[in-house]
Amino acid sequence: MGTTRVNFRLPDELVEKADVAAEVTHKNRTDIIVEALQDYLEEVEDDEKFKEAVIELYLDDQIGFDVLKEFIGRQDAESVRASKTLLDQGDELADELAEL
Amino acid sequence: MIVADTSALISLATADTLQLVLEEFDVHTTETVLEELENTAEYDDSHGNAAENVLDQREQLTVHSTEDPEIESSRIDDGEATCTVLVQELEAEFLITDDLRALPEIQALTDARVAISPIVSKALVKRDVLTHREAETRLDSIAETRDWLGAPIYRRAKNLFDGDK
Repeated sequence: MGTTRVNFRLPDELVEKADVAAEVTHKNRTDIIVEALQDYLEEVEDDEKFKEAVIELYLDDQIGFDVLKEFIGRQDAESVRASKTLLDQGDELADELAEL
Repeated sequence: MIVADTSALISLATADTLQLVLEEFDVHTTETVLEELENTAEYDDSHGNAAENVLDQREQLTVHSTEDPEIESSRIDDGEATCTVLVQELEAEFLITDDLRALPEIQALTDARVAISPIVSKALVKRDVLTHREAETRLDSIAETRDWLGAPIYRRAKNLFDGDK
């Protein structure tokens, strides 16, 4: 895997702590940042997969709107509900559209 | 007559279905949507390429200028707002949008039927200009470009084509 040199600014305090962590764990500053970023990205990705799975449960009628709302928030839950209703009515809507 | 917003045109282009839709239906949109497409086309990613594809076919779209709709909402952008105005002006039967996050508010703003692009594909299947298999494959290409909220919806939309097998 290739690497790219990137320039960004970090708060002094964070750099200090990263350097202490590097010292303690016998790694360098780059290793620490790479690991932290990898962990963060995995967490975000897992979180999104989790939310997708929750939406699929709702689409399967295994959980109700209130549970969906708890996980993804009211506005997004309303969007999912409106989309589900459209899919449920999809055949009739497509009939009307095909007749235009 | 149908009105399509930026997200719908981009989805249809991503699914390689736009040309068919423009041949089959009387499709209208707004100048604001064209501006949004021009801005999106600047990006070198799947959305950018799809927007460029739409702009290549703009001759087949009827583009209207609309009044400033003055709709204040965090979920509805200018293109979508102008489309809700245009639908009223033209008394169009359908408004097509693929902005799922804006969907509830768009529905509240218009008396027209609101549909998402998989329903347009289903109508093309009903008209025998697209096979169910093609429609399903094309849905996969849309699902791949969507985030966690949209991807499950587009994958589920494949069920629309089950009855055609």
